[in-house]
This record gives sequence, structure tokens and C-alpha cells, in this order.
Amino acid sequence: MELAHETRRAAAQADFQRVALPWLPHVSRYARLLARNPSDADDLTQETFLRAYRGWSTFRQGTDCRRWLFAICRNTFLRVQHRERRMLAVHDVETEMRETTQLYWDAVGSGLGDVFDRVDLRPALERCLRAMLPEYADTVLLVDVEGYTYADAATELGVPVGTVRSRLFRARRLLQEGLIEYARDLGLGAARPAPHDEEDRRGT
Amino acid sequence: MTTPSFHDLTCEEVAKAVWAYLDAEIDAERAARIRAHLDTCAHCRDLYTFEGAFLRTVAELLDAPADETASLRSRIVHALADAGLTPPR
Repeated sequence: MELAHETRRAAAQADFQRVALPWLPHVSRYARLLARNPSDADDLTQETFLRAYRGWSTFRQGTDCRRWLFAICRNTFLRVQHRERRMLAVHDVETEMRETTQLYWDAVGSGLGDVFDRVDLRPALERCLRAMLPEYADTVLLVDVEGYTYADAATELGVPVGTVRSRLFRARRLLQEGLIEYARDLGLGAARPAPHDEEDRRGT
Repeated sequence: MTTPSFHDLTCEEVAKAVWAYLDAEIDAERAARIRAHLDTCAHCRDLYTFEGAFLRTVAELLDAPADETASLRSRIVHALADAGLTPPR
């Protein structure tokens, strides 16, 4: 009886090491995007794997382990933060899309129509995401990285679908603006339009 | 039977819907109208290509693994060992 228990335990441990641990570099990056400083991010990554290990029996074999780990990471982060649920303005989606289209025309007009294919934008992307309010960054991570539908993201975040859409579109617009600015700072493209103010950059 | 007009959307309407369209968050009938517009409008097709490249860039860069995790891995393996996980051989 004891032997069977030990055998099952050893098998579960081997499974955890084979299925979950290889995702450590991905979880680490995800944690760094959420936690915004490397030390807190490493603590968050460690806590994620400890929780995942303790809860390994709840992981359904054959499902997406990366997504499962990201959810643990995000929930751990939210719990640790004890963040107040701030009331955020719901932005007008049409306005965001109008401004996004204007960004596109500015980019094309200054020779940056293919900016996403020819510049390494990772440093700028991470900087822009960290500068954003967590509610906006969370939405981008859920939809654009984890592939949630708007409805699933709304359920996960406990907000209406319309709020997901407005946060997502604003966050994307701010990211896009930051990436294009970064490319211009590298000397690519021509004219620089007037930047939006700092409050706008944070998504408030 | 009336053949639906696929050319009734303006460029502005298509531009407003481009992210929702790329996210497949638009109903089939409207998606078909947008697709038809994109087939015939080079300006909107360029916008669609630009926004698609943006979303791919965001997804690829943010989903990439962190570069240096050797010391973090060692730290986590030790923490897991303390929690009862036999260290990998």
C-alpha cells in the first residue's frame, strides 16, 4: 500500500519535472512583465512553481500547462498585490481606433510602415508595458499572449466584455505609439509628432 | 434572394473594426463584409497588414522565454526540494 503511494508520488514528481519545469523561462518572462522589477519577479516565479507543485494533482494532463502556470502566476501576483479595485474610466473604443489609424498613417508617412518587421522592439515593448497601469497590461497579456477571447478575459478579470475591449484597444494603441517612438529614436523614419502627455501614456 | 452587398463598408468603418477582425471577435456576416472590402481596397489592406504585424510582434516578443534563468532555476529547484520534490537527476 505504502509502496503504491510512493510509486504514484514519484510518477507525479517526474511528470511535474517533465511537463511544468520546462516552462520556467516563459513563466519568468511573464512574471517580469507583471511584477515590474526583477527581484519581485523572481519571487513571483518561485511562488508560482511552488503553488503549481503543491497543486499538481489539479492539473489536467494533456491540457496547456503553460497557460495553467500563467494563470497561477497572475493569480498569485494579484493576491500578493492586494490591489484595490480602482475605478478606471472606460475609454471610447471608436476614439482609440481613430487614434490608432492616425498612428498608422503617421508611421507610413514617415517611412515606418514596416517597422514591426525590421526593428528589434523588445526593449521598448517591455518598457511600455511596465509603464502601463496593471489593468491594461493584464488585458494585453491575457488576449495577445495567452490567446483568451474577449469574453474569457472578461470572466478571468471580473469585468464586462466592453471593459476588456476598451482596455485592450487603449493598451495596444499606447504600445504601438511607444514602439513607433522607439523606432524614431533609433533614427528610423522622419518627422516626430507631438507626444501624448504622461497621464495618457499610463492609460489613465 | 438578395445577394448581400460586400462593398457597403467605408474605409473608416473597416479601420475601426480592424483589431476586432484580427482577433476574430466579429460576427461572421460582418467579417465577410470586411474581408470583401479588404479584397478590393489596397489602403485598408495595408492597414490590416500593419496591425497584423503589430499584434504578431507583441505576441511573439512577450511570449518569448526569459534569457537568463539558470540561477533562478537552481533557486526554484531548491525551493521545490524543500517542498518535497525530489531534485532532478
